Amino acid sequence: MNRTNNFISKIIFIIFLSFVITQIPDISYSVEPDEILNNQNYELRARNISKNIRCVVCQNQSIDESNAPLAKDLRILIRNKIKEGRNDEEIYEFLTDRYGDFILLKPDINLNTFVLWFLPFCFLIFGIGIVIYHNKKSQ
Amino acid sequence: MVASIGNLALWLSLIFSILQIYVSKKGKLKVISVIVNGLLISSLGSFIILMYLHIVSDFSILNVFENSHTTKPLLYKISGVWGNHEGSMLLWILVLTIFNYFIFKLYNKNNSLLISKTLKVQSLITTGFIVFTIFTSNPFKKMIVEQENGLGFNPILQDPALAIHPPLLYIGYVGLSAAFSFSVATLNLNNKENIAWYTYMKPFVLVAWAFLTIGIAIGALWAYYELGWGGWWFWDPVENASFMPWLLATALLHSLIIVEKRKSLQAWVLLLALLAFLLSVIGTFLVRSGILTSVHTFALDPSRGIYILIFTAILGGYSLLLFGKKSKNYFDKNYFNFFSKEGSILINNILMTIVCATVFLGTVYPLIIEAFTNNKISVGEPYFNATVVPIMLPAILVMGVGPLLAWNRNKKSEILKKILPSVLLTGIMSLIIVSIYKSFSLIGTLGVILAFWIISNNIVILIKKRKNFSTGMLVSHLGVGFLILGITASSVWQEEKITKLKTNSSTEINRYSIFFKDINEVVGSNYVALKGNFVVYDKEKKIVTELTPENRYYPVTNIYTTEASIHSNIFRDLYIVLGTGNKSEGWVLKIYHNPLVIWIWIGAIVIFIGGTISIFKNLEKLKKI
Repeated sequence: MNRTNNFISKIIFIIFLSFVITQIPDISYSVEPDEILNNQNYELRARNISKNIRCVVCQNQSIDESNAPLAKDLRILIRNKIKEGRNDEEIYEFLTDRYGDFILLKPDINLNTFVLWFLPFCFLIFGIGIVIYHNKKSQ
Repeated sequence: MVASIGNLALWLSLIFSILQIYVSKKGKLKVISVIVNGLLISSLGSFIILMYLHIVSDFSILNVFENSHTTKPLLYKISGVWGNHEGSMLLWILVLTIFNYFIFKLYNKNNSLLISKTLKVQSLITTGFIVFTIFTSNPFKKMIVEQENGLGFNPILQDPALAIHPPLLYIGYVGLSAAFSFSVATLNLNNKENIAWYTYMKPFVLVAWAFLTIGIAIGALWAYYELGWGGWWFWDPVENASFMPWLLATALLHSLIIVEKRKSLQAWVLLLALLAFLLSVIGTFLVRSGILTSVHTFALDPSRGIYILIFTAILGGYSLLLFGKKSKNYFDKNYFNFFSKEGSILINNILMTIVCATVFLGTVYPLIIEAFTNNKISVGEPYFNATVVPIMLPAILVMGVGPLLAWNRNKKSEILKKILPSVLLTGIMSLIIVSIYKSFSLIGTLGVILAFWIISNNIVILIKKRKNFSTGMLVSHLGVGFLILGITASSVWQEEKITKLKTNSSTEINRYSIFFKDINEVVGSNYVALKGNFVVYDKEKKIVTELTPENRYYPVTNIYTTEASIHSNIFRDLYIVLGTGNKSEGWVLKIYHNPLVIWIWIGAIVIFIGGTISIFKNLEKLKKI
């Protein structure tokens, strides 16, 4: 029994671990050569932000993937903000102030999105509960 | 004239379908046989006639006018039949009636009660879709004035992979209708008859699952080489619409094994069968109604959306109420130990269902928020990656060890002994891969370890020739291992280069040097294009390949497309896209070095082969009962 609990707590740990490391590198870019910043750190930050920003005139694309002129404007805007020394949070804030939460592909956790982020976790706890219940009853 | 016959055939199939509702339960076998065959022949007839109208470019028909053009190659005139909403509904109906026919083929003295009830449910579903097609989406509608030529067809869709993508997916979605019908019929039997309903349901689930797998993979392959982003999965609502039924079908076919072997989980399996098909229909509703804007939305038409919504509500309301009322007949008091085969399948089922619920939540959440608060929010790729991947990881971990476990309880020391060889094998293979790619990434390492964990376990089973394993399972699981390897390596270790290059100069990526030879105008069958010629050299200055990406212009539809040029081998893809530019300043190029991408496609094919092996094995089983 003890060992089982151990095993389950390990699984929970792995799941927690993977929640932390879920930033899977993205796949595609529509960035053009003249936009790319010389400072590699800046460029990387710009990329990461762009991947989370929706191209508002496209169908389900981030501004990082989109060829639309508006997306390009936003990419350049983000890079300019980075060069001005703004941090990521300030840039996200600037963008959501201007375009609303709709622009975030990875929604913030707030009153509206609480259920969205919280529910999968509840599903998981519930699922683990079923497995533990089954295991206990089977002994 | 021909179109009128097509329309008549469609109406005939409606009549046969309604007749089947009434006769399937009490009618004579001969009568049912005539009706089932009549339904199949009439729906096949209307489908073939629409195909004929597309082939001969009959522009007196609205559907042909809107979606075809005389310059279109024959293959795409044929695939154009299901490349639009109305025609795809006809294909949907045809597949429904084909499955209806196969359900009828199972009919014998011992199972007549189950099969006749199943046929009744199946004909109710079929009737619903035929009514929908005739009254909201009739493909045989005539033009007021006949036109010289058609409006053409989206050139992005003119592609061999996309030609077969919809039929494969439809076999998947509609195959689940058979599982749904069997489930409703079984619930109605109250568990009084001793009929092995699960043995009848399983081949249909296997067919649906195998075709969903290959259909989704071909869609992803198309996105990979056609959309020019180097990616293949975008968590687009319509991708989610096919992924959700796939997840439940995966859960379903695994839990069916438990029902077969242990007679446990019957109620759960019946529920899964209902939900899997309901999700297929809801997916169609979401995509076709246009309430979720997606690249696959054919037309924005609220009347269609409302019809499918009502139809789904009736289907879902009825079946779930029935389940609520009757499922207690199928409850049992069997509990599964964590360290047993059934325990591992239970975990698989729970995790697949959680992933499905999460994808569903993410897909419909923006709609819910907009309806209740008037705020518009987006739920995109970053959300799905952050939620789905962590839940999938333990599922894959368990999937590796499950087939090694015996039924009932296993001693932990024995499990350790069993998995020791594959643990060692996994360690060695993962070390090799990770040392090749050097750049350390936690998720990358984890993915590679899990992929080899599955591959090693299956190799060990194969070598030890342990009895009682299923070849289909082994092959499919091996395919999943390949798939995970490809997904991980191509997303974690992708290299990308965006640059401007003039002709007669070179650029580097990974260990390759890419020389821009020249750029020419070329004329295709219904497009004109700029075609770049690139020569790829390796470090030893040997020619590896020549790549020829194109920028195409289709005058009929006034659409520009980019055609990526890809060189694949088992280690990596070289992927090049031509952007805008001119002679003096050079052209914008996007070049990708994508490791192990090909293993995604190999994996999907191997999974499909495994599924096919299982289908045949289960059909043999059917003959024995």
